[in-house]
Amino acid sequence: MTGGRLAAVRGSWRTALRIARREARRSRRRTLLVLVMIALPVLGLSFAAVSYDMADLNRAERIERQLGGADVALRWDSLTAVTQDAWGESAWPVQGEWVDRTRPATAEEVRALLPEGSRVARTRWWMTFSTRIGRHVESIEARAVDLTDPLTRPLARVRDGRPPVRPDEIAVSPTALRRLETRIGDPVRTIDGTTYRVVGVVEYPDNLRDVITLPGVTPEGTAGSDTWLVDLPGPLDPGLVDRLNAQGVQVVARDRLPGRDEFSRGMRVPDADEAGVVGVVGGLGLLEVVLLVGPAFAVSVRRRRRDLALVAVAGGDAAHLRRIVLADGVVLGAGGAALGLLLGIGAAFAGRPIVEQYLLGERLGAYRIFPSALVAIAATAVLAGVLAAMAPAWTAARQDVATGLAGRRDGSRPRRRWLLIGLALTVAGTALAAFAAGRTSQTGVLAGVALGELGLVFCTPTLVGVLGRAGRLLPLTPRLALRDASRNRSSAAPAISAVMAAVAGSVAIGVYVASDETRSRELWQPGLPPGNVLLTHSGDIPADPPSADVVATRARTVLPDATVTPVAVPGCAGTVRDKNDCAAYALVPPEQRCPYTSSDPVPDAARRDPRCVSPFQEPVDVYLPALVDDGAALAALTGAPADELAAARRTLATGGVVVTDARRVVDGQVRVEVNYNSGGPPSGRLLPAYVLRGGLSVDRLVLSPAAADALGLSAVPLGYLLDTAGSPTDRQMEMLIDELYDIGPMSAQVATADPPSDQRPMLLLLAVASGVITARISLNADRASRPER
Amino acid sequence: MDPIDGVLELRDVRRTHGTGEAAVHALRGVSLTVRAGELVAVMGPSGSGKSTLLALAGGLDRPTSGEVVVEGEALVGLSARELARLRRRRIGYVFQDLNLLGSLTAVENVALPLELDGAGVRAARQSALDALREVDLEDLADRFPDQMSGGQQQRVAIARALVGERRLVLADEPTGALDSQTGEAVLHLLRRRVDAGAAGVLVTHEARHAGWADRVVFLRDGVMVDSTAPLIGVDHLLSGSLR
Repeated sequence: MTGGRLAAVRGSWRTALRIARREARRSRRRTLLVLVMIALPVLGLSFAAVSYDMADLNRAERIERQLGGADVALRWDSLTAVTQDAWGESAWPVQGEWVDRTRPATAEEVRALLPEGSRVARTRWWMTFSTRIGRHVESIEARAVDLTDPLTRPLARVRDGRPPVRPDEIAVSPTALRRLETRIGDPVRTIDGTTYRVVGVVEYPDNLRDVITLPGVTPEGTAGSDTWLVDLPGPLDPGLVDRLNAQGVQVVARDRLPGRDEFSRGMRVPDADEAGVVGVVGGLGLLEVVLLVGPAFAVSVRRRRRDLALVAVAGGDAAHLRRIVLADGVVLGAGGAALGLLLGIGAAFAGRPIVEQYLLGERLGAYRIFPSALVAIAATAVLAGVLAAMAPAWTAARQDVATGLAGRRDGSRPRRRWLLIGLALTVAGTALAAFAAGRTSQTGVLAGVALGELGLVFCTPTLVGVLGRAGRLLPLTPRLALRDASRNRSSAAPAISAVMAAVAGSVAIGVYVASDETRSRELWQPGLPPGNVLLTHSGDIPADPPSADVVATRARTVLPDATVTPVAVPGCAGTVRDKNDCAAYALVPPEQRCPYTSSDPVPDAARRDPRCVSPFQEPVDVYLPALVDDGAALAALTGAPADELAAARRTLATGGVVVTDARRVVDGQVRVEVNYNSGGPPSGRLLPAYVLRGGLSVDRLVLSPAAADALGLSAVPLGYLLDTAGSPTDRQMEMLIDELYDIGPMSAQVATADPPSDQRPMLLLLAVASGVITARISLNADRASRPER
Repeated sequence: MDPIDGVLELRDVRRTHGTGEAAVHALRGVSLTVRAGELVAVMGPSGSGKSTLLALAGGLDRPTSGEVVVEGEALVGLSARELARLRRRRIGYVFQDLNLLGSLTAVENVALPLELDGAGVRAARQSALDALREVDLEDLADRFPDQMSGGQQQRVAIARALVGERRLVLADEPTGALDSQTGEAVLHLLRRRVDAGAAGVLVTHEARHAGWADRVVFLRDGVMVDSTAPLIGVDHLLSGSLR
């Protein structure tokens, strides 16, 4: 571009921006409308960006929360020497595997590693404080820390009362205070019968949810994660860090530790698929804003056609006229961006307590904004303004000057090429979406939808014209409305496009969501007959588990028709009764195995080969390994018909096994093998087998006690199966767990016929969103149809 | 092409809208030359082709046949962009009313063609102020159109029509929306600018306004029926009794 041309472009932009600025002031209602439509999404995005930035603590803030008033924090979790990064965020063994400490270190042991005159204070995080609230047993996070010690005091803020000092005192966080429905001075009793007195309300910046603070001294053997805060007599000596690392101690200091690598904690980069989805959804959002704002610019151009004609008379060419309308987009886009940013930043600052308390559950860092994100958001807003003004700008540039000077409407017809482009985009978008659906590519489907929508937008002026001509068949009122829309295509087309895009977009997403749900239902495979419950012992397997009768008595207070059967899994025989150490499985005989390896591309023959197509689906809700059972649990486990169950029980009674996969059985026998986690080759033997064909379509292996014995296995109690003869509700499940807590903590899983997800709220939200957009555009259209000034 | 000494030259210009039976002949072979320092009034009844003549002279419309030449440059072969440039640099328009952009001040309105042409802000403003001084409106330079009277607005329009190196002013009923006194003042100003070296075409309905012109041409049904000195038999010409 030559210097003169550049100067002309600059001059015309300067004039255009000046006109746009003044017009924005003169047409206050239009300006307000556009500003609001652009500012709203900017407000939301900038609120999110600023809140995210404040929530993303910088290193100094993170260290402050870790160190309190100490010079360094030590974590002694390894028995062998470790290497760590420069900030003590991660550590790994110098050689071989990580070896956990078998017991927590004592203060004396820690002090012995430190220079003379060092002072240490222990904090123990991640403990559990179980208490009963009403009929519920609730487990709350507990922390043992002496908040009277200057080293640890800055870790928390005492909001009321005082920190706990005596072993029978606790402090609670504000939310825990409400949840426990307690007050300072009230007693709180744990499940194991210990009673504590609440002496204060304490808030931790890193956890605003339910936290109980125990005094610094906790009973030996209390599970938790220890950190030692240390006050050193002098500056931190790099040699000390080396010595501590050599002992398996990880060090966090206020400054970077020399000689150690620094790992980046940058933002997680989304993968291509995620980025694609975000890009397409963001693009659709931008398109929606552009289409919503577009009519306002179109109306503005219609009202200013004489002004634009005067510019043309004064020597403005098509580019000048385009720039004048585009400048409207720049000015209002920038104005909307500025307004949205101001409100968004203000809302993020003002809404900090809400975000902290209800969204993140922790205090945010210092007040700050996220300049790069805000610049990107503002640029996108300006882009939205410019894009929204683009079609009106082109219309303005095509306007006949004499027509404009006379104040007459330009009767130009929509150009055929836009229709062709629109049709091409619509066809291409549909094809892309169909192709991507076949390959289950979310990005592709969304990109296809976006492309198709864009195509429909290009087709809209022609469609409106065609509909206008077809209006002669309609009664007067709709005929007038249709003709009016047809005559005012420049403003009606973007409005109709916006409604169309909103509806098409929500329908497309709705169809996608509904299809996805249907697919989930089809793939859903319960692990037990629906309604049945698996109760498993929480934590270690009890040496003397409660009897089925005891469990049944408790369970029937909640589920009156429930029958209870104990279930056991095969474990290694001997002193180690760990259910995970030995794994039994029924072997598929070589002639029944799929001849293709998983690394091969799947040939068509494999798809048709019954050996390669599993008749079962993996259960999604309840996981059960092989079981040891005499047949009592079979009914609740499989829901098979009575005659088959009887036959299966006979097989079990003769020392056999029951399987559900017929491919594993050859001549009435199945080979069961045992894998040992401790190493060594698997062992196994052939056992008589019965194939249970009825009931649940899940691959199961049930060993009789005799078969388990023959394989060198013992029955390790897993829990209980409840045949509920119904479908327990969530409330009943909560009550069941509460009811059973006293006889041993258990977790419960209920098998359901359908997946638990419910997409109806999402579909409703989509419908409401498109309704709001349609209503908004109707108001806009009403404004556009008013007499011109 | 023959040498042309006029600022504006129309040679056998025809303009037809539509085709076939629906064809409307707005101008039928009009020829006209306007020289520097000359103000030509165009008169004729409604629909006689006055405004079409002005649009063709200003490059806002293209003739169906014939030639329009402005300061030696034939308009027929020029692109839309070149025509726009010609309007920026050589041709000024004054309409009956609403001549100014409401969102620009008087001085900005006058500077508009210069700024569109790439002139610097200061230079354009200075030229515009000079032009406003010529029409005795320097004091109102920073007023917006809605803060000025109709006459003042028309004077600003004349200043814009002749700002910079423009030498051709095309005025379409510039006094139509003004009272007679103000109208006379505006025409006086126009006359003064033409006397200073510009060429002007004044479309008017009123014979007394045509009296400010050096020459009056009469259009009827798209044909130039006469060209005469002002105020001689004007009423008769308009009534069509002289042919």
